[in-house]
Amino acid sequence: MKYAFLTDDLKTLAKTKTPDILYFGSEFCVNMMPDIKTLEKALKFSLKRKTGFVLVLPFISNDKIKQADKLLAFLSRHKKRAEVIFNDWGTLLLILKYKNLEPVAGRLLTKQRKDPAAFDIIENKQRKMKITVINGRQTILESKKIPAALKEYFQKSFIDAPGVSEFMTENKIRRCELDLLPWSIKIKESKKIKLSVYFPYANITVTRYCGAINLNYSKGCARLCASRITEVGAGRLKYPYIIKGNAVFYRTGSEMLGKAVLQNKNIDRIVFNDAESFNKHNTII
Amino acid sequence: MINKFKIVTGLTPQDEISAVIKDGIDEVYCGYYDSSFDKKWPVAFTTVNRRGEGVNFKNFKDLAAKTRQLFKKGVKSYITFNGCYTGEQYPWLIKNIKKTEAEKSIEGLIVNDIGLLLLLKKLKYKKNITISTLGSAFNNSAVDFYKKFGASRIVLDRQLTADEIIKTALKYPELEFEVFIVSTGGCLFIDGYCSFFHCLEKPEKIIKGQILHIRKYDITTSGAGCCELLNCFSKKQYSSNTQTQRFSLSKTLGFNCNICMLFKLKNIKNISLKIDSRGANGTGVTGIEMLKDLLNAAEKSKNQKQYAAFAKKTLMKFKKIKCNPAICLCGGKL
Repeated sequence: MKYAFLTDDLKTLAKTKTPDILYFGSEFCVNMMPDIKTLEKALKFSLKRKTGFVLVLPFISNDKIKQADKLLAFLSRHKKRAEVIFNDWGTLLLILKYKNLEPVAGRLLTKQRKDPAAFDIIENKQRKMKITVINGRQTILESKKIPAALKEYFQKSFIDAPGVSEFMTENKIRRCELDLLPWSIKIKESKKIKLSVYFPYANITVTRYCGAINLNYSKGCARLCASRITEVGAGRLKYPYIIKGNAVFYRTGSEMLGKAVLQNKNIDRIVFNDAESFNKHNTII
Repeated sequence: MINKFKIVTGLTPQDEISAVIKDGIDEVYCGYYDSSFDKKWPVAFTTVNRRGEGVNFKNFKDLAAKTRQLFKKGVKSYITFNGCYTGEQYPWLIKNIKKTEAEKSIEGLIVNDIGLLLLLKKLKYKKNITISTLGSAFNNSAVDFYKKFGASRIVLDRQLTADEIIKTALKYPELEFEVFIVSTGGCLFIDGYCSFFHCLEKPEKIIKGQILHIRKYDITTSGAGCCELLNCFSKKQYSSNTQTQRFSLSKTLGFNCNICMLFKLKNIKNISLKIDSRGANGTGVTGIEMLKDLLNAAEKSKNQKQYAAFAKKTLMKFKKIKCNPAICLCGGKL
């Protein structure tokens, strides 16, 4: 098992233990893509600490394609071989232009069913009955049972569907990034595709309406992600939503991580996306 | 030449064909399942596509009966298979892809799953392939990627700006692009990257005396994770490590409707307009009257300013929602 640490911030790097692999960049926001100077510093850090290096790219809009391509060209020149996480299928084509870069399908593309709000429903743990009043009428709400096949569907992703791993290898994709699921992950074992899981924050969704979900109601980037974290539903939801930047997450636990690793032999990498958790990762695993 | 805009809308089992024709709809998208699929993977959980239980046809026969009527009237029909599928679902998918391919009244499929695109290639699927908005084509390179799978049309994401749409549409005159219009539901997230839970079910209701008995899959949430999020915000169940403004529901509405774009888009020939109709009891013709007024204004207006003033009033008239330019990414400046 390899332990990676994901950040887009050089200052955070200085405060963390040395990971096996440094994941550098942003998965969700083009405004947070590093410039060449920052990438260079991150590469130097990785060289100095003797870590592996992975460049992380978000889904990319047309106006940022050139910037992304410059980062790829720079990385290609300075590393014999490096993985690059892509989060839109267009970026895959950009990466494939560079022979020494290895594309990795990011977690926005592996399309798991993740929202923990479904936990009680999917696990058939809902109350069987609820009495309430709807439009002034006394109402009995009875929950229907969820078939086992649906739970299995929620545990999977298209990545192990027929033909997909062949497509991946034809396009030099040998790794897929996944989130931990409250109902656990069940991906078929494959010799071709390795898997990474992210800990402790699993991503649910992203937006370009960053100002709206961060309650400053403005368009344009105010770099709120650098400082603001909003927790929604604590005390009401089993897994509160956590908003950071333009993305919504939930916090997973070590039990979820342990189960995923034990049940899926292809998981050979854990990507920590929180410095505090990474610094004590020996006690988590 | 001014684009007359092809209008595409959802078709549900409840829709009358005569109403679709009367509304001047050029094309519909619709979905179906059958009991064998629903038994294993209830469609309320958006397993067959992103439409709900009441919006999908319960079998192919009922769907084909409607698409055939539409075909006779010159209205094209597309089948929405824009779910993400697992290997266990492939036998059902293969059978049904072949069924839809053999049906003359069906023009093609709307898909997003890479596995399904590979399957269509393997099956040498001959009809049109539309990439769903869930394919998240945010850049021209993504358009190139989908072209390799034989896509003839791409539904663009709701969060693209008018300028982004225009640049892409102009670069690929051989392709068609669809843009969502008049949707003011206030979805804050990117469709193709969103895994918020949705349970779009049509509950079974039985009235026994004074008591209403409802059987449904989800009696825990409000039907969607994003609604849970907004409910928690509304009930002030949130905290932040820095000072924030107070949550205001009105500030999260009135954006993303894309209506202000129409004046800018009217000269782009390869763009059609899509009205969504997702939800357990959605109806495909919502917003048509509003859209027609807007199209008329876009054609007659002398400039963006004049059109925008009309569009703003129209939004209030039909949707009772105030335009929210403070957060909206629209390039139209209402």
